[in-house]
Amino acid sequence: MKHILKIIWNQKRNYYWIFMEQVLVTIILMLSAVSVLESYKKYKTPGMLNVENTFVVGYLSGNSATQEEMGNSLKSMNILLENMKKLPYVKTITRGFNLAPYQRDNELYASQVPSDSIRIDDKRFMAIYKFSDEFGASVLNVEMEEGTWFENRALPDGSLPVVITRQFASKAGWTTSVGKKIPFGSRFFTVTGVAAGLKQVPFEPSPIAIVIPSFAMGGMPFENMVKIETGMEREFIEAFSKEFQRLIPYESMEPFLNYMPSLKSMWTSQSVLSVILQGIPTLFLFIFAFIGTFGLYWMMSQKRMKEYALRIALGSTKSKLIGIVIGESLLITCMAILPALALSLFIYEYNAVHVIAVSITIFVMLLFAIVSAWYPAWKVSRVNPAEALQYE
Amino acid sequence: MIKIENITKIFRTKEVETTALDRINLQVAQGEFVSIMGPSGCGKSTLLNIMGLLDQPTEGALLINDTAVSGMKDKQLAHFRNQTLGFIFQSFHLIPALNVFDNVELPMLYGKNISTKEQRQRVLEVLEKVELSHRLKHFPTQLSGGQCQRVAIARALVSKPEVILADEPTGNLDSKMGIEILELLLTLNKEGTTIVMVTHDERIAQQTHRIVRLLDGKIQ
Repeated sequence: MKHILKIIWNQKRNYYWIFMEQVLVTIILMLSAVSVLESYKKYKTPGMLNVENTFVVGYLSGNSATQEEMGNSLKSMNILLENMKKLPYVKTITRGFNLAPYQRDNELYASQVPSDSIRIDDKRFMAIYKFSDEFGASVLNVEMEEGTWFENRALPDGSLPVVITRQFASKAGWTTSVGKKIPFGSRFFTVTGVAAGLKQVPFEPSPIAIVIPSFAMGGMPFENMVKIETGMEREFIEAFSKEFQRLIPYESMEPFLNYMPSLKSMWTSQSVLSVILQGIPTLFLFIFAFIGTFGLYWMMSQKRMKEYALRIALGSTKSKLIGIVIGESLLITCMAILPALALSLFIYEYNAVHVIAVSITIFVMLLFAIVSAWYPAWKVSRVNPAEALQYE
Repeated sequence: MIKIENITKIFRTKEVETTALDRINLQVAQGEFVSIMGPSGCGKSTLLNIMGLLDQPTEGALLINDTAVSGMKDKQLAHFRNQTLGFIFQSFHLIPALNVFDNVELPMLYGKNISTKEQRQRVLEVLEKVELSHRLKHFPTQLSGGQCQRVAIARALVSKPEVILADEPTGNLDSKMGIEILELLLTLNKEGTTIVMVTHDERIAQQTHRIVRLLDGKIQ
């Protein structure tokens, strides 16, 4: 290695551009790897809600809707949902607000939905408010880490039963949360359960959230989720549309009926597409860098054929010649990795994702070094010393 | 020391078959200084390449120190070249990316495990012998032709070979430098090194123990 380092150092001008190219490729590869793994990590965070065979239903009122129409529509919606419950393939209906996932991303949630500052002991943090009835957990198959979901009524002591997310409990610094009191104006919330999470979108972690019984909303809940039997989607859509036309015949009222697995796929596809779009330029850069590196090592090995032939004459074996060519490539790449490593120490806090991503980057770059020099190295090992050393 | 028995070398292309060496028999005794002469294309360099294990004969046998070298594998040949033979070329063939010290040290990197201290010691000894100790850190591009050839001789000597094979060592030098190089080789030969030298120069050849003349691949 010392010998190869001497050769590289003494010919550093020849290796300058290849070194710079590899520094750039390593940095970009590292950034891409971190981005992809972070997305994957967010996907795997707990709190993915089960929306199989579930619709979110309701209606949208247009600008021309009168107060009377809006009032009647609200009452008619209640009747409509009661009628839907009677259908044999409708399993459960839950009514609330902000609990249904895949309607909006975390950023939009933060700007549009109710949230408030929570104060617990000396800690103060923001939490998103969600509302649900007693059926919310079963419709969405919420994973409960502690305690249970609530009944949709006040507790005997007058406090409101709530479910919090694990993220809320961690922020509050609680190891056990069931029974804990959270002050809310003149009242208290009492924690009955802790959910592993309530993710709004697949590739974002669960927010810090608190789920409150919908009876405490101070208005009619208007986000309705309906879980049906498998394979009955078409029947449900037809039945709902028919009932809507019958009960809410106003032109200013539009039904909405979203099949939640489709919404989930849409969000997933968007995120996957974003990752792919990030990956494509990286892949192209990688390919061009490979072509450049291969070409340069090829050219250099041809130029140095007499040197390699001389080494044979002095006692080198063919495998040692291969070792020199690949060794030079590996050493250049190792040196090119160093700036990327230094940069990563500045920009990353170094959790497991960063360690894995940087390790993958290093592995890929070392493989790149070997593969791009392999063929030139093999050609060098085929040198005929008698021919190459002939005086011209 | 070196025994060549019925060596034939035929170069074959798609259209032409050329017999470079035709049933050559030659022996070089230990401590001998032999010149090989002949017109261009008579097979001198081919013979030297075969003796240096850089090329394989089409037929025949080569023995060096009673060791049959045909049939040796790549690793064995490499080891044999490193320990037994030293090469001096007309074009010097110094590695431009290495300085004088590193060029001379090169054969020892492929040799037996020698300590760094001993390697350094040997390099300095041979450079002293060729009177180039003051040029350790210089690169080949900073040396004259004669100095380059002396570095090449130092490189050939550093592994203490038994045989030196020199292919036109003075071919690229002026007469004054050529004489210096020849004197150096004569000194080495007096110290016991067997030398086989290809040359065009009759005056130089006359100073060696024996001249072997080749014509059309045959010894005259």
